[in-house]
Amino acid sequence: MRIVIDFQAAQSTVSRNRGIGNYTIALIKEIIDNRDSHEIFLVLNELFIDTIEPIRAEFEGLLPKGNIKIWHSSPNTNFSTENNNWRRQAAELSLEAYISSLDPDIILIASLFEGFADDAVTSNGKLNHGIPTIIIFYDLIRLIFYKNYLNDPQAAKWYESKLEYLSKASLVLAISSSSQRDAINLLGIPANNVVNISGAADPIFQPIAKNTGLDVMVLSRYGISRSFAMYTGGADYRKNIEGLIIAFAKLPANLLKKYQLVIICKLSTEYRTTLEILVKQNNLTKDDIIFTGYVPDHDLVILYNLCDVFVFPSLYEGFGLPVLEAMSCGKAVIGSNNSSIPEIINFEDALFDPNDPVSIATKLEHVLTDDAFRKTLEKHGLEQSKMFSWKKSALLALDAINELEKNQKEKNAFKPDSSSLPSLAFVSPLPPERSGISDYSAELIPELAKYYKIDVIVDQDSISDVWINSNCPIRDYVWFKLNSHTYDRVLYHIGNSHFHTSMFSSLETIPGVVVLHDFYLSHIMHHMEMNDQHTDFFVKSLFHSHGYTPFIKSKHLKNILEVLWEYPCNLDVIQNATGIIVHSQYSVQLAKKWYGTNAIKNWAVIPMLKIPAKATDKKLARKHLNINDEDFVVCSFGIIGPTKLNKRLLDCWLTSSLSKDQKCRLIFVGEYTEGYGQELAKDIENSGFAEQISITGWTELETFKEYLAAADLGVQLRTMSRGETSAAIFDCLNYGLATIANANGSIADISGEHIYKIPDDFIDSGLTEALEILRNDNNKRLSLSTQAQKLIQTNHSPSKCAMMYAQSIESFYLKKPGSKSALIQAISNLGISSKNENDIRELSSGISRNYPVELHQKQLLVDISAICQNDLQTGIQRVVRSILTELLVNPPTGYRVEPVYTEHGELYYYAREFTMRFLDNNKSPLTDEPIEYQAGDMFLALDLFLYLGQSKFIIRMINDGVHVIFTVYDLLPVLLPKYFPEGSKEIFEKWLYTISKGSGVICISKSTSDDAKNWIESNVNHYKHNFKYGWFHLGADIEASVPSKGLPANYEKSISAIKCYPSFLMVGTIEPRKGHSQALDAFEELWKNGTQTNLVIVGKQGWMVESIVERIKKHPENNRHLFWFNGITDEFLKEIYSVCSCLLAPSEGEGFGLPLIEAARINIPIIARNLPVFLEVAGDHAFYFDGLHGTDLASAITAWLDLYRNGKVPQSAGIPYLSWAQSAQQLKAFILDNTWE
Amino acid sequence: MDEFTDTNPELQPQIKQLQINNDELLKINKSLRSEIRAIQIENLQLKQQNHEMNSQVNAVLNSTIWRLLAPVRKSIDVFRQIRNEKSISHLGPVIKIRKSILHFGSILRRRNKHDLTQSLPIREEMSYNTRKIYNELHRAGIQKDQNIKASK
Repeated sequence: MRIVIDFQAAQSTVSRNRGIGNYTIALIKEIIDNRDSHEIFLVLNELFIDTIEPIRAEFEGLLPKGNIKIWHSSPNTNFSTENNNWRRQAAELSLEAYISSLDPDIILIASLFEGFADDAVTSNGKLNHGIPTIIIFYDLIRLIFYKNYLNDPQAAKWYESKLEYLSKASLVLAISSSSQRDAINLLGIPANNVVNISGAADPIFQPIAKNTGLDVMVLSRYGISRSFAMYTGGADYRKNIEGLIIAFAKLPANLLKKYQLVIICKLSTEYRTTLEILVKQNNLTKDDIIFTGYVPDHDLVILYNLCDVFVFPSLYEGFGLPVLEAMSCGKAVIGSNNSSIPEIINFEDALFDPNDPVSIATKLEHVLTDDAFRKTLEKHGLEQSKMFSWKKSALLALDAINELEKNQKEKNAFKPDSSSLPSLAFVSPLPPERSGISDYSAELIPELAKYYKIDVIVDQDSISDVWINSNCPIRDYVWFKLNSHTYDRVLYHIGNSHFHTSMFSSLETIPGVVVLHDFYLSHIMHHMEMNDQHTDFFVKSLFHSHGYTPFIKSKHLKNILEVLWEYPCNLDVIQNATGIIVHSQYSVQLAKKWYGTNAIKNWAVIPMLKIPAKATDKKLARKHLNINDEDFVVCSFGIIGPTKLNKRLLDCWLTSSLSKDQKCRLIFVGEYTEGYGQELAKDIENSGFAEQISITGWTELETFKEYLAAADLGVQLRTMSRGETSAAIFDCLNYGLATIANANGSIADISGEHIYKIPDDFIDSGLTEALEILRNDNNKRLSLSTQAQKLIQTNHSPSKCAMMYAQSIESFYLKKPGSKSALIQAISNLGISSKNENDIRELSSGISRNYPVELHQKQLLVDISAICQNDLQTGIQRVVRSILTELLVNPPTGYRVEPVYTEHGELYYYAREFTMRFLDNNKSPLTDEPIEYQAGDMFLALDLFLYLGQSKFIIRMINDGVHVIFTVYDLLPVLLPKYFPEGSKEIFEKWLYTISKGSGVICISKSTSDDAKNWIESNVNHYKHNFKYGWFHLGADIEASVPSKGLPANYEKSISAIKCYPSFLMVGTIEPRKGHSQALDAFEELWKNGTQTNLVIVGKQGWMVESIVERIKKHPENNRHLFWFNGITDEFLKEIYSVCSCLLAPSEGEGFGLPLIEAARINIPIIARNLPVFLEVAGDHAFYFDGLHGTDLASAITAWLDLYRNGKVPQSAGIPYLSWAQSAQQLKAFILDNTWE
Repeated sequence: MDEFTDTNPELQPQIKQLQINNDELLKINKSLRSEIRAIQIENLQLKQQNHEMNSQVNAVLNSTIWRLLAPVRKSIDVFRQIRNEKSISHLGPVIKIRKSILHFGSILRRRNKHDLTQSLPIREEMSYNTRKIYNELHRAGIQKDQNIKASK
C-alpha cells in the first residue's frame, strides 16, 4: 500500500516548532520504521524552503530521498484575508491533485488546521479523487472556546472550512480518548471512523542522575534559588497560568517561603507584564514566581528532574504532552480534571478543578507537604508513562490504516456499469480517404462501438463507409475543439501522412490515447512546415524531440533534410498522449531506443486488426483478372517505391528459374508512382520478360482482394522502416497466401511459422532461392498458408482487438484521478479572468513543476552565462567553448545537452539562440525560454559567473533532485587576496559558499580540487558529507581553437635580437601574481653580474600592474635584453617560442598552467615555481625553484644555465597533454561515474 | 482562363484587371525582398563592427577580474539609477564607492555602452510546460464561460 502524507505540519510557521510539529515528526518516523511493505511518501510545501533540508536530514536513512516530494505552490494563499480566496482555493485543488497524482492508496494529512497566518495549504475533498483520506486530529479547543479564539470572522471562516474538511475524512486518528470523544460528540463523526492513537513523550525525558555542578548552573541560569513547583507549556488563555499564580499565592506562608513557582514558556512582553502585575496583586514577589522564557530541551529535562512537583492547570488539552514528559522524568504530577489530562495522569487523587484556585492550591499543598503522597505520585507517574510510546501510537495508526484500506478494497471491487457506455471521440481519417489508416479505422469502429458511444472526428467532406454513416455522429475539428469536454475518452489515429495534419494541434489541447501507426513522424512534420502554414513546425519538433544532435549532424539548417529519415520527431505526440497504442513490439523498441525505458510507461501493443477474409474462389478471381488457372502468380502488394525494394524483387525474379518458366507471372499490385515507379516499368519493359511481369497501378479494394485470392505467393519487402506495421503483409496472411518477407522493422516480430522470413539485409541470392523453394514446394506453401490464416483468426480478430483497445483505453484513463487535465478543469470552475492574470501565471508555473513534462529526457544543463552574453574570448571562455563543443557533439550517454544562462541568477534560460549560432545556424527559429528540470538532471556550471543570486535557484534544483556541479578554475582571489582588487576575496568567498550548496565541484586540476576541498570543509558550516570533488585536465590542442595569424612588419629584427643570447620567455597576461616583478629583479641581478641573457615577456597588461609596466617601459635594458610584446598573434608567438631557450613560469598561483603544456608541445625546457599544480602538470619534466626574491630566481636561472650548457636540463617533451575531446571525456566521466544520491 | 471564367464571360475584364494588380504586387514584393536583403547585409555589417568592438574591450578586460566584478557592476547600476532619480545627495554619506571600484566602473560603463549594440535574444516569458498549462487554463476558462452562456 502506498501512503502519501501531507507533511506541512512539520513546516508551517505555526506548528513546526510546537507540539503538532513535534508530534508529526515523531509519529511519522515511527510509522515509517514499522511500515512493513507499505510505501510511504512525504509531501512538503516548497514555500517553506528553509524547512526542507532539515526534514530531509531528519529522515535520512529512514526513507529513500525520492520519497520526499516537493509540492510547488503559489504564495499568498493564507486565510487571513479574503483577497487570497481565489489563490487559496486554486492551491487547495492543486495540492489535492498533486497528492493524488502520486498514486496513493491512502492519503494522510498530518494536521488539517493550518494555513491561517501562513501559506500552508490543507483541504480534503475539494477534488473528487476518491482516495481515502485520513486526518490526524488534535483537538477542538477553538470550537470549545469559540469566543476566545474565533472572534475574528475570517478566523471563524477558516476554522469552519477545516471542520468541513474534517467531516469528509475517511478516518480520523485522534491523539487522545478525549479528542476522540469530542470528534464524535461535537462534530457528529461516526464513532467507527475515529480511532485514538494517543501520543508519547520524547525519550530524552527520563529520570537522570544528579549532577550537582550542572544542576546548579542550570538553576542559576534561570534564577531559581529554592525548591520549586514547575509549569511548562503554552502561554495562552486556556493554559490558565493566571489561575496557577493565584492558586500558588494561596499556599501557606511557610510553603511560599520554601518554594518558588517556575513558569517555563515563551511569553510575549505584553503577556509577561500582565502576569507580573498579577504576581504583585497577589502579594507575591518576583522571586516567588520565576518566568524563564524559552528553555531548550536539554535544560528542560534537568528542570523536570529537579522540580518537586509539576502542575498542569490547563482548561483544555488535546493531549497534554508536558504532563507525560514530567511523569516520564519520574516526577509527581498534578493536573486538571478535564479533557485528556485525566487519561494521561490516570490517578484520580492527582486531579483538581482548574477553574477553582482553591482546588489547585489544596492539591499543590498536599503534594508539597505529604511526602508519601508525593512519592506515590512519582512512582505511579513513571509506571503510567510507560503506557505511552511513539511505537505504540504508530502501530495503532497503522492498524487503523490497514483496516481502512481493507474495507476500501471491498468497496472498490470492480463492478462494470453496463447501463451506459462511455462516449468516445474517434479521431481518424476514414474512407474514401486513400490511406491504410482510414480503412483500418473503418474496420475497427463497428467492433469498438460495443464498448463506447462513438463520434467520429474527421477533416474530410464526406465518409463513404455505410456503417459509420448510419451509426456514428460525424463531427469536424472546430466542433470537436469546442465540445471536447463532452467526451469521456478520446482516441487519435496518427500516421506519417498528410491525412493527420489537423491532429497535432488538437492533441496538444485535447489529450487522448494515440494509436501510433507510424513511429517516425518526421515526414509529415516536414510536410506541414512546407505546405500547411505551420511555420518552423518541423525544426521546432525536431529540436524538441532530439535536441541539438540533428543540427550538428546536418551541419547546417539548410541541410536538415539529410537527417529527415534518421529521426522520429514524435516526442510531442508521445508526451501529449494519455497513452500510446502500437501494433508491434518493434515500435516499443524504437521508443526505448530514442527516449529511454520510461518512454513506454503508458504503452500497449495491440495486434493489427484484420477481418478474417471470406473464403474466396481463386478460379473466379483469376478469371476476372485474366490469369490462367495453371499460372504460378507471384504478387507484391502495396505502393511502389524505393523503400519497398520492388526493383530488387524484379532482379531476383529475373535471375530465378521462375523467369524462364512461361507459366510464372510477377505482378506488382499497387499505386504507380513517378520516378521510381516509372523506372521499374522501364526495367520491366527492357527485361525481355514484359509479358510475364506487370504493374497494376492503384486498384479498387475489390480488385485488390481478387489479386490476394488469385496469387500463389506474396513477396513483401521493406527497408528503412518507419516503425509502421505493414497492412499489406497482414492482408497476405489473411488470405492464406504464402508470403516471403524480409525481417525489417515490425516484420521481424512475425514468426517463421507464418511467413517465409529472410534476413532484413538479405542478399539477392537469398531471395532468389526463396522464390524457387516456394515455387517448387507446394507443401511448404500450404503449411504457411494454413498457419497464416490461423494466426489472423486467433490474434487479429476484430472482436479481440477491440476488446484489447477498450481495456487499454480504460487502463490509461484509470490512472488519472489527479491528472493535470482534471486539475485544470477544476480550477477553471473557480473562474479564469483577466483580473487574476498574475495568479494564473504563478499557478501555471507551480503546476508545471508539480506535473513536469512526462517522458522527460535527462538533461545536462550547461551553464554558459558568461560566454553566452559576452564572449570576451579570454582563457576561461576558451575552455568553455571547447568543452561545450565536445559536449554538444558527443553528449554523455543518456543525456540531452542543453546550454543555459542566467542574467541575475534568479532564473535560468535555455540558450537556444546562442547555441544555434554557436553551431553556425544564424537564422534558427528556436527561441530562449525559462528552463525546466526534473529529478535526475545534471546542472553543470561550466562558466565562471559570480552571481550570488544563484543560491536560491540551486536549492530549488537540489530539492527537485537535480545534481548541481560547479566548475572551479582556481581559488586565487581567496588564496592570494593581495593580488586582487579590494573586495574580491569577500565576493569569491560568498560564491564558494553558494556553490557549496550544490552537489559537488569539478576543478581543472587536482591541486585546485584539493584547494577547494580544504576551503569548503574548513569554512562551510552546512558542509555535506556527500559533497563531491573531482578534477579534469584542460585540452591543449590549440589548433582546434583557430590560432590568430599575422606578423608585425619588423618582427625579424626582434627575433634576431632574442636569438643572440639564451632567452627566457614568460607567456600570459601581466598580473601581480604572475611573478613579473620577481623575474625583473632576477634578471637585473643577472645582467649586473654580466650574464648575457634575455627576458622576453609576451602578454597583455592586466590590472594593478601599472608600476611593473612603467618599470618595463623605462628599463635601460628595454629592447636590448628585455622585450615586451603586448597582444601579439599566435603566429608571432610561435616564432618567439622557436627562438627562446626556456619558458619561465614564476607565477605564485595557477588553476592549471596551460603555458607549460604549450611549451612542452614544442619541446622548450621549463623553469617553474615549485607549485603543486605545476608539479601535477609537468612532473619531472621541468626545473623547479622556490623563494619569492629576485635572488632566489636568479640563482635558479644560473643553475639552470649550467645544466643547459651541459645539455642536462629536464626536457619538457614528456609532459602528457590531452585533446579537448579527452578533456571533455574526463569531465563526463566525473559526472556519470559518481553516485549522486 | 479557367473553366469558371469560361462559363462566366462577363467576369473576364475584372479577372484581367486582377491579374494586372497581381503582377504589380509581385513586383512590389520583389523590391521589398531586395530591401530586406539590404537591411540584412547592413545588420551583418553592424554585427561585424560589434565583434570588432568586442575585441577592443577584450584588450582591456581580463576574464577573471571581469567575472569577479559582476556584482560590482550591479551595484554601480543601482548607484547610477539612484543618481538619475536625483536622490544621491541624501545617500552620499551612505554609499562609499572605493577608488578601485570606480576605476573598474569606468571600464564597465564602456562595456555597457558597447553592449547596446548587441541585440538581446527574443525570449519566451514562460517555460514550455508552464506555457502549455497557462494556455490550457485559459482555454478551460473560456470553455466554461461559453458553456454557461449556452446554458442561459
